[in-house]
Amino acid sequence: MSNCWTISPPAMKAILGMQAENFASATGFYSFCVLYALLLGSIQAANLGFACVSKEMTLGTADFLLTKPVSRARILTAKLLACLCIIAATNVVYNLVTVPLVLSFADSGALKTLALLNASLLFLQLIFFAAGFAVSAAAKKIKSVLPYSLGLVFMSFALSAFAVTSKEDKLRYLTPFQYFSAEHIMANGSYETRFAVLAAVLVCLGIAAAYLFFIKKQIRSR
Amino acid sequence: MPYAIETQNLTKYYGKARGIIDVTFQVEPGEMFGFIGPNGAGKSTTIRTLLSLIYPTSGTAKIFSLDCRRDAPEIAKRVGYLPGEVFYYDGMKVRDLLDYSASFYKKDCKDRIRELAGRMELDLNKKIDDLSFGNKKKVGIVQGLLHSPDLIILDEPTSGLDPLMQQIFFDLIEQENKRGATVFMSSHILGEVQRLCDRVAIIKDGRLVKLERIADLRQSSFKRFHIETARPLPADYFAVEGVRELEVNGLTHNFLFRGDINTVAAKLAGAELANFSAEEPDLEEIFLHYYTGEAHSS
Repeated sequence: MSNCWTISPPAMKAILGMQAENFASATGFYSFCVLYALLLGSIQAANLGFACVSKEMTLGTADFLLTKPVSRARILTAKLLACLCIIAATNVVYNLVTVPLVLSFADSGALKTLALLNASLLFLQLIFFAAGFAVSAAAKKIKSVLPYSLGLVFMSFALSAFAVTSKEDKLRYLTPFQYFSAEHIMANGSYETRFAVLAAVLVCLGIAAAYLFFIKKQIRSR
Repeated sequence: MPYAIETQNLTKYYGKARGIIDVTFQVEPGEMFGFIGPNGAGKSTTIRTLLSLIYPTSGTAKIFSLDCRRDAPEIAKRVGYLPGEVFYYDGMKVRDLLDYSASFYKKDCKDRIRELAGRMELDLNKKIDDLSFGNKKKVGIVQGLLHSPDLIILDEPTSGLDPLMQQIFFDLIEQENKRGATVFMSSHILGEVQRLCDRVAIIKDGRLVKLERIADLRQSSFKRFHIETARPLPADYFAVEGVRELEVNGLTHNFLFRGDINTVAAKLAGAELANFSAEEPDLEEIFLHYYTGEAHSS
């Protein structure tokens, strides 16, 4: 196993997310698996974000909804809360499955690392959701949502692999997959402050932008 | 009493494309107001601006003295809107949609939904996806009227309804009007506006070209005459006062006429006819011949 580790080309390790020093430990192995949960979770969140407002445009139901006696801000808040509930539910289920599983292999000291790794799913989802939400509120119409969410997430994912192999630190700012690096969590037992702050700022910006766009939006007839 | 609808130099551009320009009109409370014009003239743009779905480039629009943009939710409580084409959420039953719609208004609409659906012969238990275009339109009508609005805005309301249903619909709208509701309807069919409305605004290329009482419009309305004579007549035989667009082609004489019908009748009596028809010009013709013509002659 360790031989396999040393002979694998670094680019491949990067793409597969094999950054952990100690690949043989339970949390080390898990930190590698988490990447794929992050990938799927990000797609789900981006999809939610892209669809949640634009769906009213593509279905043509915006005319119905926006001529009802509710303000646009309230409509958007309701949508935001609904999406946040779905994301929260995803995370609850994910934690209920993974925490007992990993802890059955690892000692209880691993709990903090595990919590940090798992929470990165929630944060990453929030970033991708906020990005999709803003675009969704601004776009005239998104015919099909999935290409957008897949495109955004895989581009970020590829950029993340590139950032690892090229060892270019600046690149890490461009992809949310680098904000909560499993490598850093494993080594230091914490997030990197600069990226955690950046993540929070991005989420707030995305949601604020969505409100600004949606309140000013012109609802053209289909 | 404040106007039900009041616009002042309402202008809307989509980027550089013209939507409407300097549209100014007032609708009295309790009035039935028609808004007609050819496709693309700006009818829907005006309606969507009133409903705050789009925002004006300049000018103002008020409903019940409230600003259409700023007070949109407040206005929406008192407005019922039937869009030209109705789109609804997938997988919903008619009843679900109507209940959802009713949930936005803080009143009990159950009886009203049942009554309206009964009159429109609409099955509440069907899925909306399975409905025909006409039946979807009925959902739209019930949805627009279920909260007993003070102002009813209808965008091309009769398209897709069969004549029998149109009749029921017109009765319904008239009944709402008697109850006190103001009606604002757009159409490109002069006939249905003439039948329902008290006043009509005519919009063309984004501008309001005429605002008339229906009674006056009827008086000033043109007739199109097609006449075939048995024997050739002088080309200017029908060139009497009120005749326009006279075309003579051998034995056929075509023209538009407005004025005292007896002058034409007298002329007709003096000719030996092979065939003859007089019809209401369609809206396009009114625009082409009447309004552009009037602009030229004045």
